[in-house]
Amino acid sequence: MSGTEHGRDEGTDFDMVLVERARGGDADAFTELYRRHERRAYNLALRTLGDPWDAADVAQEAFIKAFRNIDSFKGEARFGTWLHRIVVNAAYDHMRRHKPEPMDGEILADLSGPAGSAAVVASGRDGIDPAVDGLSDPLRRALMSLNEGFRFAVVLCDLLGFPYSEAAEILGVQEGTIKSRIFRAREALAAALAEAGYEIPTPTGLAASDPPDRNPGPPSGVTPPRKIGEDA
Amino acid sequence: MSRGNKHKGRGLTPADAVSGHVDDWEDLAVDYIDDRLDPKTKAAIDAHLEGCAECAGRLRVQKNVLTFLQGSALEEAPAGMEDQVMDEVLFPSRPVSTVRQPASEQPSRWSIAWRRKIRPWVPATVAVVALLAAVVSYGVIRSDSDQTLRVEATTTVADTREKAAGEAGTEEAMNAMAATSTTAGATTLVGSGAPSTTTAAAQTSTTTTMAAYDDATAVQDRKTMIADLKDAGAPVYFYFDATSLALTGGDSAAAGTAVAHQITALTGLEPLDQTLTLDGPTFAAYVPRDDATALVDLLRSIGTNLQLTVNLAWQPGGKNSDGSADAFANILQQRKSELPELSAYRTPQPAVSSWSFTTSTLVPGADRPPGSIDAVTPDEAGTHVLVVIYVRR
Repeated sequence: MSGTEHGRDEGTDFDMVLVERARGGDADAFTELYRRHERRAYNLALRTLGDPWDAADVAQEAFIKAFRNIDSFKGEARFGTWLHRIVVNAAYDHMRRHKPEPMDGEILADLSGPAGSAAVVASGRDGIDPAVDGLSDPLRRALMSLNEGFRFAVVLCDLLGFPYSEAAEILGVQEGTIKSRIFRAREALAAALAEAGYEIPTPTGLAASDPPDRNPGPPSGVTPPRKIGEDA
Repeated sequence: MSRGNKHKGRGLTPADAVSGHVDDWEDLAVDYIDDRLDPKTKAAIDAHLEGCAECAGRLRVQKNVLTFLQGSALEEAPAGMEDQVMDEVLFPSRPVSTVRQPASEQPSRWSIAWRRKIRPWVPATVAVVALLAAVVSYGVIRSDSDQTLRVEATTTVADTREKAAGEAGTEEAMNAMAATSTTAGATTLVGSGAPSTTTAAAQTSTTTTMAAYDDATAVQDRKTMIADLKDAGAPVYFYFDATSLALTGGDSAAAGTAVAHQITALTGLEPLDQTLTLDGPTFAAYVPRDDATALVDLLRSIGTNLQLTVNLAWQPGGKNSDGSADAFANILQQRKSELPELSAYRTPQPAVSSWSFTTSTLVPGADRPPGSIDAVTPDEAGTHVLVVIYVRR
């Protein structure tokens, strides 16, 4: 879980190769890029939005946006960083809009021509069947009780294994802010879970005997005082 | 809680930095959980925790939650998502940004990728000349900033052949020139040498009716079309005839021109400088058989107030054996059933309002002169199909 879905450094380099190929119009490169990032992108949307249908919509929208605008990806960040920033923005947009798209899976009128061919709309959620969220209901509720900034930070780092530095880039905040948010998010999650009667299994020992795979880096940045869930 | 001072501890000793409760050194606590602290800071925190049950308890909670979250399995992305993403990326259901761009601007990479797959068709009236001096003529429609449209008659002269061939030698050149799709297309034209294009000065307004063919010329062009396809090893018997009509009741000529411009922006095809049978802009291209449906998808993404009728005409064995439209229709239906993707198109918004098959194009009729396209025997082994797009005014 900590760490990556694929080797970070090699993966990043290969991402750039794929991006270059995709820019040249190579459809297979787009497919490969999609497959390398779909799981984390989808789970980022799923854990922050809480609903698998919304998550599928948002992740799909983000991929399409990223791929259509791949020429604007300058390679200053990792492709994954850039992509997940788009996912985050799409998720925020979705939260702002509140309501899901109204016309999903709608079948329009038969548009038969003279020879009788029909046209069937297969847009929106048609054809997508997200698995039921496997997270326990208490944890999902606990995550959703966090305010958005804390939720995104803890999902990116603790659930998806992004290094703090990359999560900071994705969310556009200081790395120190990320750590502070994570610290408080964990406390809030523990409290919310306890309130829901859910007991978190206790690992042996306090010190990290199995340290997570984080990219090391000195703490930095100034953390503004904030309380967890103040506007959740 | 005085969180604001915790980073002042950066210049202090580790013991000073963690002298207060964990609220003052949250970031260090996170690193402590991750076991990423330098030994001195770690020792300082260990010392603090020994004497502070509150902080020790809170760090245990941190560790517990982290371990719990890390142990939560990720969900698989929905199975249908990949198809939807790739379908939307490769065949946009709504106009991509290039639609509104003048044809002279740099097209999207999608257009470039697409344009590599298509080869402009050279009309017979100029192909005859091409045999002699490799002269190819195309019409180029460009949009001025004030939305008025010009038609530039483009003429190729023999001495530009080397230049075009050289330019076509590199991928970069392809990309650079893709905006001038006539050139990009020419690089992939097979058969009659390497025709190239250059823009000549002749300009006229598109509101002036384009040169209309008389029947004899149209027939000759169609015959040449067939001959070209055969030379290229391409079958004729599967082509799309897209006609766009303005439904708004407004200026049909302007609407037709707008459609032509959109087709150019989407596909990279330039209108021929002469029309084949109708009085509107006409496009023609050889398209890999497997990509014909993609072109239709591109065309379908045009416009909200347009009706785009896609006519699929297919003539196995060339001339209809019994000459009957019914037999032809049956064959067409059979062919259609072999290509289920053609009959299962999505019609998203904005979208074309209808899509149909018709047998009218190739059905022999009393008004069809002998020697017309109906009489030509197809080459079904080929890999390319001819797409002809008529924009009706």
